[in-house]
Parts: sequence; C-alpha cells; structure tokens
Amino acid sequence: MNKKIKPKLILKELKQLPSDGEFLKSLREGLVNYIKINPAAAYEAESFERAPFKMKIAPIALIGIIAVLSGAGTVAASQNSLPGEALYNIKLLSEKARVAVALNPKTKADLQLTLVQKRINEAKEFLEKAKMEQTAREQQESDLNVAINNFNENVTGVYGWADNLKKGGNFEDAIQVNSDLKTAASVYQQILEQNLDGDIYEKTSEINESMATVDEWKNKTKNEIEDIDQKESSGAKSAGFENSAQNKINAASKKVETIEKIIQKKKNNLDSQARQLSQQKLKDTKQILENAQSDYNSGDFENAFEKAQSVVKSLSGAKALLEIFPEINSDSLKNFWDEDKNGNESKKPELKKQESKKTKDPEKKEETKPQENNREEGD
Amino acid sequence: MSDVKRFRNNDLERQFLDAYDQYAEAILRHAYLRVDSRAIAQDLTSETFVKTWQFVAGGGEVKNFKSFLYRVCNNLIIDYYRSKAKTNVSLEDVAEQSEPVQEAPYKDIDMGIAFESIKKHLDSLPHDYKQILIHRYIDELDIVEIKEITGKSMTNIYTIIHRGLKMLRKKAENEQKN
Repeated sequence: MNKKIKPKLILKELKQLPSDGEFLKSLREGLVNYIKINPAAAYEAESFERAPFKMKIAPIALIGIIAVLSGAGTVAASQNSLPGEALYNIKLLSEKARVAVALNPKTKADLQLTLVQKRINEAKEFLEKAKMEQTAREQQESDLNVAINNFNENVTGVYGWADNLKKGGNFEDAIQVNSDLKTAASVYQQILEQNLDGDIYEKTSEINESMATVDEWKNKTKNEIEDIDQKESSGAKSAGFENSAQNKINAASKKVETIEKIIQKKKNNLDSQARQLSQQKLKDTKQILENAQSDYNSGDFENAFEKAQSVVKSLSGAKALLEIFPEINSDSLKNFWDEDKNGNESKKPELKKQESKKTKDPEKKEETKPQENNREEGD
Repeated sequence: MSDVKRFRNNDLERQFLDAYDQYAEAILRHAYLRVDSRAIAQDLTSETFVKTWQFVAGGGEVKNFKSFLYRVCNNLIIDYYRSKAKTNVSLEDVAEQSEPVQEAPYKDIDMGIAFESIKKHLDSLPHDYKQILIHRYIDELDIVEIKEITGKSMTNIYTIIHRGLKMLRKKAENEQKN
C-alpha cells in the first residue's frame, strides 16, 4: 500500500535548502559599501556647495567624506557630471559601488559595459563642451587624460569578467562581451581622433599613451575572440563535433533572430540604404547558416560547426556595432568596417568570401544607424 | 549634518542591515525556488536589496521590511520572466538564451523521492499557485503578509492554497502509482 503523501509537510522540508553563506557575506559587504556611497537622501547634509573642491583628494578618504557630507541627492546630481567637474569622482565611486554589489561574472560584465558606454557618451560631451570653452587648456588636457584612463579602467574591468566567463566555459557570452569591447574601443578612438585636431588640445605624451592603450584593447579583444574560437573548436573536436555543431547552429539561429529583431526595432532610424544593406548582410548570414545545417544533415559535423561558429562571431560583432555606436555617419561607418574587415583575417573561408563580395560593392556594407544612447544605464 | 540627522541616518542604515541579516537567506531561497538557477537567484537577491535601499534612501517609508523585500523580489522575478519572454531582445536577453542551465541547489540534497516529486510538481503549477505555496509553507508568511505582497484577496489566497495542495497531492499520487 502506498504511503499517503502530505505535500504541506514536504513543502516545508524545502526550507532545509543549504544556505549560501559565502554569497550572503559578500553581498552584505557590497551593500555596506554601496550604502556608504549612496547614503539616505532624506537626511542630506545642509549643503554640498561648500565642499566641491575637496573632491580631488585621495579616493580612499573620499568614501568617508562622501558618506558624511553627501546624500543620495548628490549622487543623483553627479550622474551628469563630466571629467574635471566637482561631482565627477562621486559618480565614479557610485558606479564602482554598484558593480561591487553584483556578484556574478555576467552581471558584472554587463554593468561595466554600461559604464564603458557611459564613458563614450561622456567623452563626446566633454570634447564638444571643451571646444566651446577655449580656456584653461592645460586643465582640460589633464581632465581628458583622466577621462581616457577611466575608459581604459572600465574596459579592463569588463575584460577581466569576460575572461572569467571564458574560463567558466560560457564562450558565447565571452565572445559577445569581447566584441562589445572591441567596438567600444573603436568608437572611443574615433571620437578622440575626430576631436583632437590640435586647435583645442595638444596631444600630450600622457594623452598619447592613454590613447595607445585604447588602441591596444582593439587588438587584445580581437585576439581574445580568436582564442575563444579556438578553445571552442578544440573542445568540439574532442567531443566529435556532432553535439557541438547542433548547439552552435541553434545558437547562431537565435543570434540571427536577435539581430533581425534589433533591426526591426530600429527600422525608423535607418535610411533606405542602411535598411537594404542590413537586409543583405542578414541574407548572406542566413545562407551560411543554411549551408551549415546542410553540412550537419549530410554528416559533415566539423564544417557545420565551423560555419555556425563564424556566424555567431560575425553577428556578435554586428550586434555590438548596433548597440554601441552612438551615432553613425557615413565616414565613421566606413572607417569602422574597413578597420574591422582588415582586422578579421582569420575568418572562415566562406565568410571571407561573402565579405569580399560586399567590399567590392559599397552598397553591401552592412549597417544601420542605431539610436544614440540605446543601452540602458545599469543603475 | 546635525547630530539628529546623523542619528536618523545611521538608524536607517542599521534597520536596513538588520533586515538584511534577518531576511537575506529567506529571500535567496525564495528566489532559488522561483527561478531554479543559482546565479539568477543571487542576482535577484542583490537587486532586491539594492532597490530596497534606493527606495528608503530616497525617503520612502517601509513599515514592514519582510513584506517589502518579498514584494520587490517578486516584481524582479516577474520582470525576469517577462524579459525572457519578450520579443524585443536586449544584450542581456541574448546572454540568457545561451546561458547553460545551472543545477538548482535542491538537487544537491538527497531528501527522498517524495521531496523530488513535490518540487517537480510545484514547478509545474501555475505561476501564482507556486508563488503562494512557497510563501505560505517555505517562507512561512501569514495570509495577511501574502495579501500585502501579492495584492490578492484573502479568499483568493485561501482558495489557491487549497487547490494548489490538492493538485500537488494528486500529481504526486499519480506518479507514485506509475
């Protein structure tokens, strides 16, 4: 005879799930720091105006000072500040505290990617504003250098978490994050190059050095994408390719759907030429994917895997472009794609062929005109 | 800052951290059971406390931290499932699609066949049934608290609990027969 099941009692047993003490301890520490940087607005200090010029002192002391002097209102006010302004350091500290509260690599990478995007928008605004105010050039150069270093610091953070994703075997996220970083570095570099024309700024040795670091990120992330590709391939090879090929084809199909949806969502921001180009690029990609599926069906798992892998990589780059490019004019688009094309020597033959066709025909240069600031702020 | 303001500020921080110490484990467990992924449950828990702090730090009044935290957590869980289902994908959604399924923590414990089957059937219940049963028997909330969190009437909650338990028992008994 079956024993009578008492769901109420058994449900209560679920209370005995093991506690995740390490996580709870880390989260508490993160929250304590977050509270220090974002104290209660309702009990805000009388006035923050008296203290703005103290903000350039050592960062360690800053946390304590902010906790005493400022409130959440100050943190909120700091969010639009630019390099060199009194509240800018509060903005950076608030961002760091927010990232510290998140504990998972993917969340940290995403949050820091939003900061990279912030640095891009900030650089544009800062440089445009600086053109209007042609005074205190030395100070502006120094502030600009701080801004570039902050960008590099945020990129370093994301890169570290992307590496963590790679080590955890989450190759697709790692590729997407690296593609985002590579695009972000290109965009940032273009913004700097377009604005550093010598009339306003001298490229000081510090600025040159910081800009060289931005440039290095492009190569570093490109190499990282190749490395992840290779790791995936060797993993797939040792497993006989069959399962990996099907998984990769599925992932590539999802990626195609994603890009289609993004393009659909932004169709009003695309002129007819850009729409046509993006449709063409998608059509080419789908063709490669179909070929991959045919290879799979005929038992050629290795080729199927490689084709699907190239689609995922290519679409990760396209997605990064759509998400990160703050605004696209024909020159910046051309520069970006030429650079990307020249930097992508190791793509699979079929993809290279598709791309070389496009190069011959300027109409087939994919892309689009994404909205400005289309990535949401993380916090 | 005056001493009175500083005292009130410190008091608010203390209350918040006390609430963390008291409820964080329960909120994390609740999130685990609702989303079945350790990483996502951890994210939801940290977001729950960040958002709660943002609310109180912005001058919002919280009469009962326990109910408030569960309500924030529930809203985040709903957002999570909506973002999974929505057609307008973002960067994060794509990541979710390709995220490998992670083992839920309860799978690490040997709590017997009845336990496993109840958990499996709990997951198969309608969303609000699952939520309310977890609130009632695992979070050990009373009906008034569940009413505050879910916004459902007490009659409705009692009905869901009654039907939910019946459905669970039936599913488990059917499985036992097979």
